[in-house]
Amino acid sequence: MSEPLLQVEGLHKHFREGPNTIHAVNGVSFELYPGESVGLVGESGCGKTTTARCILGLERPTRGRILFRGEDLGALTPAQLRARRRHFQMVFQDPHESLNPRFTVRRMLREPLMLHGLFRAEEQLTQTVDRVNLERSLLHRFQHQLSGGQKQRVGVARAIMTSPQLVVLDEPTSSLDMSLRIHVLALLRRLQHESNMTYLFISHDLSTVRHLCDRVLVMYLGQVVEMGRTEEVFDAPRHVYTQALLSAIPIPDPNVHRNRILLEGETPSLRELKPGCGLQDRCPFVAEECRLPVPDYDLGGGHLVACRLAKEAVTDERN
Amino acid sequence: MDQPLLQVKELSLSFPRQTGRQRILDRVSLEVRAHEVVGLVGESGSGKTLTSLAIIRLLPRSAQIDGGTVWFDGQDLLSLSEGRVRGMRGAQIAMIFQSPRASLNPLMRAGDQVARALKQHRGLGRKEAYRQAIELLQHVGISDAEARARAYPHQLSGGMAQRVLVAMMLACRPRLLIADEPTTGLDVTIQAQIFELIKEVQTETGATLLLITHDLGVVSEMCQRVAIMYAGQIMEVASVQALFSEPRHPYTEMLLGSVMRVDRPVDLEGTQPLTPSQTTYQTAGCRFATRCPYVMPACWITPPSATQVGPDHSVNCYRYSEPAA
Amino acid sequence: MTTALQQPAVAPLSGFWPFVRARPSFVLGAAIVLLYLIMATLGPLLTPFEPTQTDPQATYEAPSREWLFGTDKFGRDVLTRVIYATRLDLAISASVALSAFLLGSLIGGLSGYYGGWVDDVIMRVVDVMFSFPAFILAMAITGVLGDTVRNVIIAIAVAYVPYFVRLTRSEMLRVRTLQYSDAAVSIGNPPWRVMLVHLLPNALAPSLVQMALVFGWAILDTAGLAFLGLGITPPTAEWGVLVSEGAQRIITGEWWVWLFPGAAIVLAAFAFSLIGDGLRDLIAFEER
Repeated sequence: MSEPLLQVEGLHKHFREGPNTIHAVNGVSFELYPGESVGLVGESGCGKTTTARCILGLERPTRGRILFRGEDLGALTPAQLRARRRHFQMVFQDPHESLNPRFTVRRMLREPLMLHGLFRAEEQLTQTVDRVNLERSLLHRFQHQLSGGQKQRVGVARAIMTSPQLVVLDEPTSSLDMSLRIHVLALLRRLQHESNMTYLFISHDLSTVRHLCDRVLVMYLGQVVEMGRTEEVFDAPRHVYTQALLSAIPIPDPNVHRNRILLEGETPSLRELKPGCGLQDRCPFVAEECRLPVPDYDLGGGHLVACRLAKEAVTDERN
Repeated sequence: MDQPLLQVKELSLSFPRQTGRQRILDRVSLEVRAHEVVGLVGESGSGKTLTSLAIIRLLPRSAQIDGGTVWFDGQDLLSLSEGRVRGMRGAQIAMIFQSPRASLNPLMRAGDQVARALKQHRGLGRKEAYRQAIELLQHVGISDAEARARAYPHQLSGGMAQRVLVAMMLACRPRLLIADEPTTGLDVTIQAQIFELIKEVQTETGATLLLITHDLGVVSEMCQRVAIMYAGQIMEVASVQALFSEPRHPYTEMLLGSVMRVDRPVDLEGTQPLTPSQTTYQTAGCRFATRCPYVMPACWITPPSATQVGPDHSVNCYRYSEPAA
Repeated sequence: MTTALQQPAVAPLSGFWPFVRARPSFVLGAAIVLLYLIMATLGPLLTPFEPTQTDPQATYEAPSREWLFGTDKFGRDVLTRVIYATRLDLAISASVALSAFLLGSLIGGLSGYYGGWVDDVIMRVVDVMFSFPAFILAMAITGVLGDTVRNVIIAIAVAYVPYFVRLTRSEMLRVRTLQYSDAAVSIGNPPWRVMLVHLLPNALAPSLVQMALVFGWAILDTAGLAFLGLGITPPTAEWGVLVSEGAQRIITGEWWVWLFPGAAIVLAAFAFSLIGDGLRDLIAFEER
């Protein structure tokens, strides 16, 4: 097993909103290994985007460390951090908003190279444009002259310009039509294999995560409730939240009947966190011990679950 | 019972453009029978929202109806006066839009909005209307309804706001309910709750539901029949079973092939882009011709009319019908 | 992808006459300013007189073929003086508008981007400055600095800097939260470059509109100051000076001495106001 590319250790991030504190991320720890594709999933407010922003240095963690290639990013000077940025990049969620309206595509793609002293020839730009299936003529266009799918691909091109080792993708297909999504995913997968990049794929759309990711982390209320290999987590989810989440997704097949696990009520506010499992007020299987801090139960093969119902599975596996 | 509740016949709609008028909706025909749930499916640019706006006569001012009729309960909605149509909105035909908070009056408390709908459509007095409004809010699953009724829309979550809209729907008891992507932007678990709620309400009131969506999973769960649109034309109409098991139209086939499922991975390679280009709307014939693997010369000349290929299954495609001579 | 509902009904700019028809007021304003520019550049070549050339025999002559705008109390040709005044006033206003725009936008951009106590201090200073009408402020500064063209420019520009500070700052606060701001950071830009290269150009639109308006207001302020005897003084040909000289003759009936420079002021201010409004519409359309 090689060295981890990225280590997130005990990440906490709290925001102040006047008198209130928003507990966006509450103790997230995981590792990413070179070449793998890991999904970070959850619904709105679960903390996945904030976690990603901390990893990329767009936010400072309140507690905890982010280690990239063994280096603590929080311990670097701003200049040192900027120099490291060529190795980790992000594809942003909104293709319309993440491209500067005053820049041509060419300028947007050249800039990462210029900033890190990597620009040598125009070919670098045209090659990347080819790799993402964009016509070269688009290099001279502005953002408002491109279609949604084209804008998305420019975002991807910009992210891979410096040949980063880690690419964080924040909902890259959510704003696209159904028939486009599958293309963008195919493109992303091909790019990854060509350059052996590591992907951290943030999404609330579990169907796309299923198709791209080797491992998946499920988040709720700022914590990871379940993580493991994608097939395992999706085919045999152990945490009640994961089960509810998966069962809520409609399947385009009238022959499949769903046993829905419906959670009551709505996601509680991030302003006041109760001790214990974040799902305690909505879970149909809640018990007394759920009000106390829940440990991670290891089901083997990297499958960790923070739910008391997984206890039996652990003992089963041990026997 | 024999006559469908809603019948859209050959509806065509155009907008003025720099280069002249552009026909967006082209001879759209659609039937919705009483008490059923029909899905109108298409990607962006397919014209599904425009069709629904045409039914309820809420089109933008620049839109021009080029032809066709919309029969509702024996009347052509397109020929009615604005006053008559306004009277029908809410009472006979109601619509839920995509963004629930945008559909609610931001200056009125939630409870008051539901109460107002009750006053208008059931002629109740102020106190009684408010009391029943609270009941309705409870009925749609809003816990602590009295407190929620005093909240303004911006203080409600997306799921709550959508429930308030459903409560208003119940107050009006329309015969036809049009829901345009009612769960866009809502979390998946909330989405499941809202669809369960809509299903309950539909069964309870016997309302007819026209559900507009791009999500084939939702269609599979909620709808009995479904119409597929592409670039302003109807491509195929079928029962849900028939559509998923025996899709006939090339677009439907390709669409089903590009949908990702969470329970079963799909092959990512080997699919083609399907989105309409700018010139698609100017084609004289079938608008899928530019993307269709089975395209024939006849496809470019006139659009195919609907051909029956099964008991409740029609396709607009020359693979199944003879081109007009 | 835009749906049919989102596409504009009429395309933006295609052809000259459609452009004129769609924005008549902007075109009118621009045409007037163009005329002034022509007058300012070519005027001196076309007139046989000098602006300070006197003719004691021909004082207060009514407009005629020889003196198209008549003469003033020293026999100077009013038209010539108006033409030379145009040069001066346009030059002053341009300097004021440009310098206030540049300085104000930079301060506003920095203030909005970096925030913190620097932002607080700057905003309080701006608030204090706003509590005075711009003209009063300009008067005070001119009074302190003295009556030269340079000081007039400084005085009026300083009075208008706060407008640009506020406008640019609020735009900066908005664009700072957009994703392309994060993107600029994530590819490795240092903060100063994010602010200057990525964000500030996108925060200038309202300030550009304001610049056109300030151009017009500066004309009024310069003339106003001169009318009161501050800033530009006789015998320099400046619209306000001319109106001041002519004001003495309102009752006695020599209308041409004050009417023509007065009309020049009003028309110029009006034209810039139209341009400012037109720019606002143009920019709003582009950003959609």
